[in-house]
Amino acid sequence: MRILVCIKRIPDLETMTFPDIPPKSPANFTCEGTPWRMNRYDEYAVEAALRLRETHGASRIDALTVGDQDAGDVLRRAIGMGVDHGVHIQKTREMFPSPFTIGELITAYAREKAYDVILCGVMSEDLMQGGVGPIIAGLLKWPCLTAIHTMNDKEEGRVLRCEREVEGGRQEVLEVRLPALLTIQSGIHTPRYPALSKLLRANQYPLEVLPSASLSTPTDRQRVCAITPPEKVRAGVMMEGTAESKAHQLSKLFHAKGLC
Amino acid sequence: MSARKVAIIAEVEQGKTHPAIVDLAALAARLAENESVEVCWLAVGSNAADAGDALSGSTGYSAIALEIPCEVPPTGELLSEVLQPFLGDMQPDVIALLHTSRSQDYAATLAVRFDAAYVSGVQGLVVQDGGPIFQRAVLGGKYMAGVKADDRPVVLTVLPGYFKFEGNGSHSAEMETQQPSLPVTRTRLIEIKESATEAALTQASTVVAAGRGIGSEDNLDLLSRLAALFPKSAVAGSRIVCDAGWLPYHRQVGVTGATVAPELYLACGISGAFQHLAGMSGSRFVVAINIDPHAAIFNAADVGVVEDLNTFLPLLIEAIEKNGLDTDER
Ligand SMILES: Cc1cc2nc3c(=O)[nH]c(=O)nc-3n(C[C@H](O)[C@H](O)[C@H](O)COP(=O)(O)OP(=O)(O)OC[C@H]3O[C@@H](n4cnc5c(N)ncnc54)[C@H](O)[C@@H]3O)c2cc1C
Ligand SMILES: Nc1ncnc2c1ncn2[C@@H]1O[C@H](COP(=O)(O)O)[C@@H](O)[C@H]1O
Repeated sequence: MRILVCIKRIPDLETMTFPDIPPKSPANFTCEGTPWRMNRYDEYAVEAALRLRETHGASRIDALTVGDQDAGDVLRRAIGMGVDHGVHIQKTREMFPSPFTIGELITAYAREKAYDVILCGVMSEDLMQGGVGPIIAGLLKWPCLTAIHTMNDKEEGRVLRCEREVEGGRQEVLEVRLPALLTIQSGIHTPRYPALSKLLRANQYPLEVLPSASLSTPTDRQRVCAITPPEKVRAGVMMEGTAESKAHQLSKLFHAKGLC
Repeated sequence: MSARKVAIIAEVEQGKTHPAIVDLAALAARLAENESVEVCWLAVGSNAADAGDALSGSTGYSAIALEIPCEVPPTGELLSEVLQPFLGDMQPDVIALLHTSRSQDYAATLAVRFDAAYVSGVQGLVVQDGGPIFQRAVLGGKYMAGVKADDRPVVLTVLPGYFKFEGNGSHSAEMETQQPSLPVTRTRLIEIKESATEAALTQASTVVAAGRGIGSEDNLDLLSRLAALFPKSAVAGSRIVCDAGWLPYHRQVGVTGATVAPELYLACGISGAFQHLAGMSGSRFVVAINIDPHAAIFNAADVGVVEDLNTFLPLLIEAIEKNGLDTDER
C-alpha cells in the first residue's frame, strides 16, 4: 500500500501576537517572530498512516508539504515519527493561499505516483477550511471521506472501513474502495512523539525538494481580499479591576440573577 | 444583464432536512440585493419530493426533487454524482450547501467539476458592486477572512445559525420530481450509531465548560467544585479536552457533541472555535474566562473575564461561597 500524508506548517496561534486592527491588505498580515509547527490534525494524519502500516504491513508512507524554505522541518518531524520519505514543494510564503493553489500542486505531484491512500488533516488550524484535501480528491476524481478518526484495512488493502463523529455526537461507519482520500480528525489515537534516535536520522535524511514552478501553474480561482475583526454576537462586556474584584463582581452577578 | 442563478442543495433523509436548510434562502435573498437572482432548490435523497414541496412552499423558490430511494442516507460521493448532470444543465453562479459532515465530503468535488471557487464555513456576506464577498472565520475565530471568487461560479458551504430566513411561507412555486439513475460508487454508509449524550448535561441549568486552557486534568477538580456551587449543574468540555481523555466524549459540547442551552454557560479556557459555539450558542447567559484578550469566545459571551484560570478559579469559588454566606445571614 502506498500512502501519502499532506502536512502543513502553521504559525503557533498560542504565541502569535495579533494586531487589534488587521492590515488593510491581507498580503501584509504577517506573523514575524511566531514559532511555527506542524498542524495538529496533520499529526493525527501521520499517526493514522503509521497505524495503517502496522496493521497492513508492506506499506510505504510519504509525507508532503507545500511551503517556504523553512517548511522542511515538519517533514523531518514526520520522518521522526516513522514516515519513510519527505517531499518538500517549495513556494514563497503566503498567509492566505487559495486552497486550489495548494491542492493543484499536491495533485500534480501525486497524480503519477500510484498512491492507494492520501491523508490530509481535517483542517488547518490557521485557515480552518477543510478545503485542500477534498479539492485534491476532486481533481483526482477519487472518493473523499472527511473527519475520519478511525480506519481499518479490509480486503487486504482494497477497502478501508472508517469511522467518524457527525452532528450530535453520532458515529458513522463508512467503507471506501481504494484509491481514496481521507481527512483525519483528532480523537482516539494520540499522535506519537518522534523518537530521539529517529529524529537524529531524520535530520540527515535527504528530502525531495521541488520548486512549485516545476510542477504546475495553478489557477487560484479565489482570493482573500480582506481580514477583519469578527463581529460580536453578544454584548461581550469585559470586566475590569483586579482578579479579586472580578471574582467578586461575577459572584454578585450570579447571585443577582438567581443562578446560585 | 441576465439573472444570476443560485442553486441550493438540500440533503433529504426520509423526507426530512436539516432545520437550518431553509435559512439558505436568506443568503440567496441577500445576494439578490444588488442584482437579479434566480433561485432553485435541489432536494436530493429519500422522499425528496416532500422536502422539495416544503422548501418551495415556504420560500417561493422553485424546486427540483431528486429521488434516491434508500434506507441509509446517500454518501457524499453518490450525492455529487447524482447532482452533477442537473447542475450542469442549470449552470448556476452560486451553489450553496449547508456546512455538514456529509457536505464536506462532496462540496469541493462540485467546485472542481464546475471550475468554481470553493468557500467553506461561510458565516457572513458582503454584497457589493464588484461581486459578493463571503466571510469565514480564520485563526481560531480571531479574524474573519473575506473571500472573493475570481470571475467564476462559487460553491459555498454555509454554517447553520448565521443566516435567518423569515418568510411567511405561502408561496406557489414550481416543483418537479426526477428519478435520477444511480451510479456505482466506491463509498458505502454501513451504519450510524446513536450517541450517548447525557441528560445531566443537556438538561443542566448551569454548564461549566472546560477548554484546553484549564491546562491539566488536575484542574478539573476546581471546575467540579465551581459547578457544585450551582444547582442542576454539569461539567462539560471542548473537543480538545475530550481528546486528551480529561473528560469522556459524551461530555463534549459542539457540533459533533452535545447541544446545550442552559441558563448559564461558563466557558473556562475555551478559544471559541465555531465548531464549539455551534453547541452552546443557545445558552441564556454566557460568561467566558480566558487569559487571551483576543480570544474569539469573548465575541460570543455576555460577560468576559481576562484572567489566568489557575489563579482566578480559586478566587471565584471563594467569592461565591462567601457571597452565599452573606445572603444567608441577611
Ligand atoms: C469536524 C470538526 C468537528 C469539531 N467538533 C467540535 C465539537 O463538537 N466541540 C468542540 O469543542 N470542538 C470541536 N472541534 C474542534 C474545534 O475546532 C477546536 O479545535 C476546539 O473547540 C478548541 O478547543 P479549546 O477551545 O478547548 O482549545 P484551544 O482552541 O486550544 O483554546 C484554548 C484556550 O485556552 C486559553 N488559555 C490557555 N491557558 C489559559 C489559562 N491559564 N487561563 C485561561 N485561559 C487559558 C487560550 O487563550 C485559548 O483561548 C471540531 C473540529 C472539527 C474539524
Ligand atoms: N501547504 C500545505 N502543504 C501540505 N498540506 C497542506 C497544506 N495546506 C493544507 N494542507 C493539507 O490540507 C489539510 C486541510 O487544510 P485547509 O484546507 O487549509 O483547512 C491540512 O490539514 C493538510 O493536510
